[in-house]
Amino acid sequence: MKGWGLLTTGFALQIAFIVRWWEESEVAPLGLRLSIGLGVLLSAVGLAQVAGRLAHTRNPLLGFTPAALTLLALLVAAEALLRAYQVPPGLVPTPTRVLATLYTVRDVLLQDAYQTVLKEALVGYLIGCSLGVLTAFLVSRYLFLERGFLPYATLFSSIPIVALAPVLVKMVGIDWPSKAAICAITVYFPVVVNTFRGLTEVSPISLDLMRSYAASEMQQYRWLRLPNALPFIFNALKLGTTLAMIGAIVGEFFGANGQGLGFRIQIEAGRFGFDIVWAAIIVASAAGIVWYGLVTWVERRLTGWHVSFRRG
Amino acid sequence: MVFPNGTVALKEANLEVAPGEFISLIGPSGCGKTTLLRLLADLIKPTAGTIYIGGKTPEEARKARAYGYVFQAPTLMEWRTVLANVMLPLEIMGFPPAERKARAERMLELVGLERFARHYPWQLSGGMQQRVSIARALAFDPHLLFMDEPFGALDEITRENLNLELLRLWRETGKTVIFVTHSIPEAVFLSTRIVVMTPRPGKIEAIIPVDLPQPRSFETRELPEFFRLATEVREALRRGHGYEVAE
Amino acid sequence: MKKWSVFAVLALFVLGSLAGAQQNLVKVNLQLKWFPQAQFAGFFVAKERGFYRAQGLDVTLLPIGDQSPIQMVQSGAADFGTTWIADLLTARERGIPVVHIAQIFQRSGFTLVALKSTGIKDICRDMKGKSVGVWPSGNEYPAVALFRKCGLTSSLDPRATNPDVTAVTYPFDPALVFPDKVQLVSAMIYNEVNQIAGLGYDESKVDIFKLADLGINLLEDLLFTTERVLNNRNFKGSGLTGRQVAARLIRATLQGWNWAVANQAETVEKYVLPVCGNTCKGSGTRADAKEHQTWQMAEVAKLYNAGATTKGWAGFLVPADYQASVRLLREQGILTRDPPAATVDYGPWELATGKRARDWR
Repeated sequence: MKGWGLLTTGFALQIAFIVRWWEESEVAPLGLRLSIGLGVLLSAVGLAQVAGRLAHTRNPLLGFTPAALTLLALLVAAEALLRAYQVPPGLVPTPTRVLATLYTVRDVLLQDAYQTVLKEALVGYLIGCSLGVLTAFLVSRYLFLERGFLPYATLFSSIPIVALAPVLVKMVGIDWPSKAAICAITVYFPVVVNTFRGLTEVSPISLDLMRSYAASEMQQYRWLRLPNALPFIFNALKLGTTLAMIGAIVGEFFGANGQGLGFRIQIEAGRFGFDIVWAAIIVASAAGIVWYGLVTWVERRLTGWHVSFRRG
Repeated sequence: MVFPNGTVALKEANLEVAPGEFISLIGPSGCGKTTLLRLLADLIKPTAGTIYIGGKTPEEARKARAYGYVFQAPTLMEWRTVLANVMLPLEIMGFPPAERKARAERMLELVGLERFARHYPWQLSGGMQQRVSIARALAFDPHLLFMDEPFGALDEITRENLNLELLRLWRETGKTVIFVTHSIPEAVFLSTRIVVMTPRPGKIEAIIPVDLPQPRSFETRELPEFFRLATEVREALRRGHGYEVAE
Repeated sequence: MKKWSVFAVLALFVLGSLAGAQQNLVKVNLQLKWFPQAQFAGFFVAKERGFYRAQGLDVTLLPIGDQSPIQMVQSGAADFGTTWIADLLTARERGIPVVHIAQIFQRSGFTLVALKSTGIKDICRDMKGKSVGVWPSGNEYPAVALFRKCGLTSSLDPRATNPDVTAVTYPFDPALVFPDKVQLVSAMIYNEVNQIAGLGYDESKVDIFKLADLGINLLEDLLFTTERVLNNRNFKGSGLTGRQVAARLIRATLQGWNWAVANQAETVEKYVLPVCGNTCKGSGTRADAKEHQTWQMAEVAKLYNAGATTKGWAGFLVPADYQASVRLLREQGILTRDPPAATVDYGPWELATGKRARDWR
């Protein structure tokens, strides 16, 4: 219990300062700053001990505790230090300020998220993924495509396509379709390459088996290549959620129609409204995590057999 | 059978097999026994020569789904349960759903794995996986069973048990089996005839009939006749290798 | 454009460092508000004709796109910068210690342009449900102030869920959004107005609304720095205080502007066209580079040669104008409180010109 004691004392020192300094607009005197330093140190040591003790727990709630406490400790320390040194909110807003802003502008940020996530990123993602899978089918089927197209797909999947954002905004226009196009293109190439690998990295002996059943080519895809490709496809689909979010937000930096998380971040960063910027980043992160989680959930349902999900 | 690089894999191979026979192809690595089996199964095409399976060419036989093939590795689909793996050929061949399930369950019973129907392949031992693959090869009731060193990767005890089980299956189903192996005791124990093959170029050195009494059991391996046949096979193999046959 | 600016910065830097090494000049980075063009003619003249050097300064002029010059100065990447008043005051309110030290343009050049065919005659009355094109990074404030004054909400306000006016951001070239995506577009009277004419919409086809005429008279190009720079006792080890450097910079800059306004053709030919590269034509305009910059020089001269400048008080921030800008921003809720007195520092300007602010009539 020693760890918990240290942790609580450390938090108490910092929170006491935050309350004491809530209304002040001066840099805190040395004594108070030292007490914050002590508080940070105590909470860090306490956290290390608590985490060490929970390292081997099987309870998922307790297993999650060290990570949650670390986040809390960082936020408390940031709040105390930013207030102690009176860092301007136009540079780094305090966590409480960000949370309060998140609450007051939630409606607009939700609208922004609707535009960025559901319209731009998701539409682009769905288009990019379906075209990617379709292309991979054709590439695995026709050797001339494998020779002529696949090398470029491999190349493009390893370069930051998001650099095309300004070009696409100029070509397609500033409305949401240009952002969807960016997302579609960034997602497309990794999906092609991964799906192709999944469709073709099939053991020759399995192909012999299908041949021994006199299976048609379509049947071969249906019963062997496609299921074999699923884990590969899902890897690309998970990667794609991140790429699509990046594509949509960055795309909005190059022109946007009055809505979107990227638009909000750009406008507010330009006018030093960093509390709103951070609030928008929180919303974007939450949306990204939920999306990734959904894809992982579908993956588990469809490829629960895969080696990565086996236990015991 | 000549590969594009000029290597002759199989030179002379004249063999007639009657229905219900259990034929073993034995020989050292590179003698073409697997090649011969793959020719029969139409997994590769011969450069010359003729093969007929029940009056059909191998391609026709394959398209008529005349044989089941058991590979060296179990080759189970890891995304399918044991039961679903056995149903795979039935789905491809368009059996009605109810019949698929009934047949697959019966096949699993036949190989003694009905309790593992809902398991995934990775949860089974190597020997059990190979039994699933045999059940799968039999599921659509082909006349012929081609087996390419199916027990080669298993330990001796498992292999002997599976040999016995295979013989039981053969008796109960009346299939014609072509079985590739490089184990002399296995060949003698299982077969009605043993085809001894020699390498470079692969050809048939001898065809040795095995008239050990049926049904065979663990005791069969103790019979003097078993040892005599094993010796005969071994000598044929040595002859093919060009070694002097010791008196 | 990015490539060009990097190259320009490098080139200026190399030239600057050569000169500096010879004469022991004080290195100063000055952040312009946009890409090089006649809008900054006075600065180019002051540099190339040696006015800065005569003041012992080795000034590097940094171009920028639609990012905030305040960020560059606040972070120390530049020592001084030019920006607009709304941008400066909102940053100050959010705790960035920036200080106004000289007012270059005495009049606002911000306009909103609409095709006559859209039927927008009165922005307050006709803009509900319409779209307006703006540049981000503080350049959107004049439009925001106007809409607030009209009682219209816009999507630039993070608290308005169903805004009356949609603000469309776009990279530089008005042709990207006008007239297809937006009915109203931001246009500086010395730049985009001509670009729009270049798109085939001359004054017979468009209405140009000057924001100053609509009561939004927000001061534009001004010189600013940070408290850190001003209070520096030994600016970059030069032995000069930050204030002294600021004063010298103001003196040479005003000298440059006076010369540029008096010698416009020569200024464009010798000092603007050689540095403005592919932004000479404005972004995307079909106009000829020299023609566009000559026209821009003339327009900019009108903004410089107005108000205090005409009374011989170039660079002076007229207190009444400043108060008017503050009052407007407060009324429209863009500022929540009066900026602290330290936001404007007349000291360097007084030092530079020998005048005293309180003598202004």
